[in-house]
Amino acid sequence: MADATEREELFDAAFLDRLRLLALRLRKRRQLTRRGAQASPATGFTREFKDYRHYTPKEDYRAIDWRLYARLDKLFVRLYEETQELNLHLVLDTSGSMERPYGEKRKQALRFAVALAYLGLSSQQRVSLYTMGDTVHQVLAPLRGQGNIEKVIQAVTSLKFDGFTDIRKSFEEFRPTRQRFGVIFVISDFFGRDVNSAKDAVQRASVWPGETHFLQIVHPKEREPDLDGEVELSDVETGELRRFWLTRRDVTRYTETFDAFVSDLSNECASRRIDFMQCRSDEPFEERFLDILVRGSALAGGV
Amino acid sequence: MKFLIPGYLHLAWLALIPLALYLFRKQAKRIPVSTLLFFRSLSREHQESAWLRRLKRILSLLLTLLVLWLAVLALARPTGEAAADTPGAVVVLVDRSASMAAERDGQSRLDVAKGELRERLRALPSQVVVSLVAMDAKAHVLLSRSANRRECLRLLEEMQPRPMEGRPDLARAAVARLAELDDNAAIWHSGDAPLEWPEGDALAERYGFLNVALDRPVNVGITGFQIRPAPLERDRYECFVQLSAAEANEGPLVASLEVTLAGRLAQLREVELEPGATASLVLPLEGLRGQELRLQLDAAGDCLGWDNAVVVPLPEVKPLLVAWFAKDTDPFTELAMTSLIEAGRIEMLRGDPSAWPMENEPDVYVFEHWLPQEWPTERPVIALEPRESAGPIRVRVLPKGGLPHEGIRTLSPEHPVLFRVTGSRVALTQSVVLDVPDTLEPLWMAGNEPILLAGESEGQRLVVTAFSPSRSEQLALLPALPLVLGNALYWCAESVAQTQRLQATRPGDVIPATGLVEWTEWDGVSFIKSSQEATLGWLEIDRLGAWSAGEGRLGVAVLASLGETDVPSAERSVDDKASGTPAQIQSLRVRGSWANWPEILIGGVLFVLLLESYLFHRHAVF
Repeated sequence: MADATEREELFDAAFLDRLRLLALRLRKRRQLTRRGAQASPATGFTREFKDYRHYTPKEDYRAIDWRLYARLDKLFVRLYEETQELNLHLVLDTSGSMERPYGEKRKQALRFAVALAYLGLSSQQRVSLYTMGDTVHQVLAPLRGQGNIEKVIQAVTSLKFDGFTDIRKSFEEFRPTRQRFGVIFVISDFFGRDVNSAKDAVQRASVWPGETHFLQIVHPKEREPDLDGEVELSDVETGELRRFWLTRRDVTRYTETFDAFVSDLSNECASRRIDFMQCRSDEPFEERFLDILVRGSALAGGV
Repeated sequence: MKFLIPGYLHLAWLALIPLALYLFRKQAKRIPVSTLLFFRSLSREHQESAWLRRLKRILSLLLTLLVLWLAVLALARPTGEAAADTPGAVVVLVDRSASMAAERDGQSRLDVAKGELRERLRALPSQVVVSLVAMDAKAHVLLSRSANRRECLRLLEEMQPRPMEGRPDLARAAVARLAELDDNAAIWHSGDAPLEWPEGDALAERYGFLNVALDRPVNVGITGFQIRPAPLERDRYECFVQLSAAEANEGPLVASLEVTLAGRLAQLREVELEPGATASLVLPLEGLRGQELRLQLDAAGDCLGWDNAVVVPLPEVKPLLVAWFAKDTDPFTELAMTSLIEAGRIEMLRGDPSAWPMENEPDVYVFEHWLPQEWPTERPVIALEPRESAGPIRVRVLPKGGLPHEGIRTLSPEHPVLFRVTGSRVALTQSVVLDVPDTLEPLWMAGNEPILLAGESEGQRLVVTAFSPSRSEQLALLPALPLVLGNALYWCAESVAQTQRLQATRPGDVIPATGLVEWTEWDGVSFIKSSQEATLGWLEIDRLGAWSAGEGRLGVAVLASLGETDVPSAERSVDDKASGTPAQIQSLRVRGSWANWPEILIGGVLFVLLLESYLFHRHAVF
């Protein structure tokens, strides 16, 4: 019952309508004509003719265009379009910091996940869902077809946000195969065990096959905490307690440290050809979602 | 342990404040955060275990309470139980008269006395109250029965020798009054000569003397000085100087006296003085009024400079103004008075009784054969052969021209009125019988009747004669009468300040003055120019030299003290009958271990504060 209520809160009918509308807007904007399979530069065995090429020995002789041989007295091979199935991998951070103390982060992350999944499913792509915490778990096997959105919603709603984030280990273990080539979205706050763990993780993500997007979800108070005086801070992931005597100057220094962390992560992503975007939990979801797609994604191209 | 100011112990309730703050302290809020990743970079982190935190908090409370208690105890001035022989009070008498400026190796006797007393005062138990009395021409009570040792030491430190003659009698009276206020008060006297106590005085038992006299002092000084215009001469002066040598001098000492007038050497005298001897010199001087006369005495090894010089302007003399009222003038009296006028020293205003009363007051009234019924009381009076009673003088005129006497008796030949007057072979005719106050002294007696009297009656100087010069034996009286009249005039005018414009003062005197007083000062080494502001219309003379106040008033301040010039030696002081010795004062020092407790407590407060700051606040940046 609680799950149902939460589901209603997160993904009510209006939200799904907005998603559909969003997809239509994207389609209109790009004036895309094709639907379904995504064309790739490779040649394959579909019925769509692409080009001719001289025959070379050891090639499959069945591909020789005999009619052309009759006219030109030369051996040519017919080449056909190869269509590949695009895979959409959604990696969702389910560590404690994504839900506590700011529940808005979880809500925003789940909305992005569902929206991306909807977009993938509606584009006839295979959508997989993974959770990332101390390690990576596959929650949903690859799904295709718009009708599976309900499964996605159910899956994300039932996710438990707990434990701590081990980005290094998670990214090490997440290895999509060549066959699963596609678009990877990592939705997380990227707060690891130390400041450098996120940068290390970027290096590992750079070897993933396909197009990688990092979406950082943060709460405004994570950047500018409203703290003053003597406080005892408890880490929601590890339960670690620490006492501080904070002044406004300390808070300013904290913000500077936070901004430096985000800046480093963004630069590292840019150098590895990984798209990085930060989204605050209090920002309007639709605009930010549209921004992701406008920034250039194969996912957007398939709509 | 006792407390000198136990009232401060009530402040101990202040300990409740940190205790309440500890008990009702605001707990630190526990706030969940997504990550501690970025907080770890902040320097001011309190990362410690709960038990250590609790321990530190309790320790901080205890240290705060300790600081508070130590401060309260320090304010309350704890002292130990004093020994039985420790006095309840100490009266410190410091001699700062001129002789304490005697120097050796650049250190005056007062410096030595201050050093000795400083040590003893610091070692005194805190509960002992201290009074501080300085002795010079007066006894100054600088501090009365105070436990504030720092103030006492400050006043002692500020003390400087003053060029004044010490008055041990005044000082003894002052310290006796202070010592009598406490049952067990000790008297510490630091100086170069002990006080003399009357036989059987109980305070003599409590008296201790700290002798700072020099071992073998050498000193000569000017112990007497006077200057006056030479009689019957213009622009000539007579300067009287008395030189003395200290008894403690080891042998005869040759001193040279240099006399300069208006910057030019006028005379140079050398005098050899035996220890304790005195030499008198009369120096004739020729100069104009207002010129500066300097006398400087120099002797090898002299330890006291203040008594070695005198500076004085040559005095301006104003003629004596005499009002002479005569009825039937006696020719011999007229002859004598006229001879005085010719001398140029006396201005005579002559008139008959109808001119009485006169508008301007003269210096001296002379009434001949007549006395005014409205008796003048402000000025001295010379009544010559009065024939009617008035004022303090009652007369009865003898009939038939009077009573002749073959001879007279001189009762007080040293009296100034009879200066250089011989009474032998003088035959007089008594014309009146006098009935005068007993305070008048008969100088000449004819038979049993006084015929010449001088003295004071109700503060007024009177000279009365009861003989008729014209009917007396004239041959002997001819030289005597002008002398008697002249002496009488000068003696009568002696008390009138205006006769000589130079005012002789001694350090310690108070003169009426307003505004700036200019000084040519002798500081013991050289003559310097200085000035002094007279406030409230009075000025205390506290230096040596010539001074000039407004309206042309001149004065001279001279030490001229035999007692100060006679600088005592240490041996002589010890031989005197002081009941206390330095050893008695010394014995108090061993009981002074509690004297440092307030300092120890304040040190403890500072130490604990530093410890607390290091333990709990060393990472704090404010």
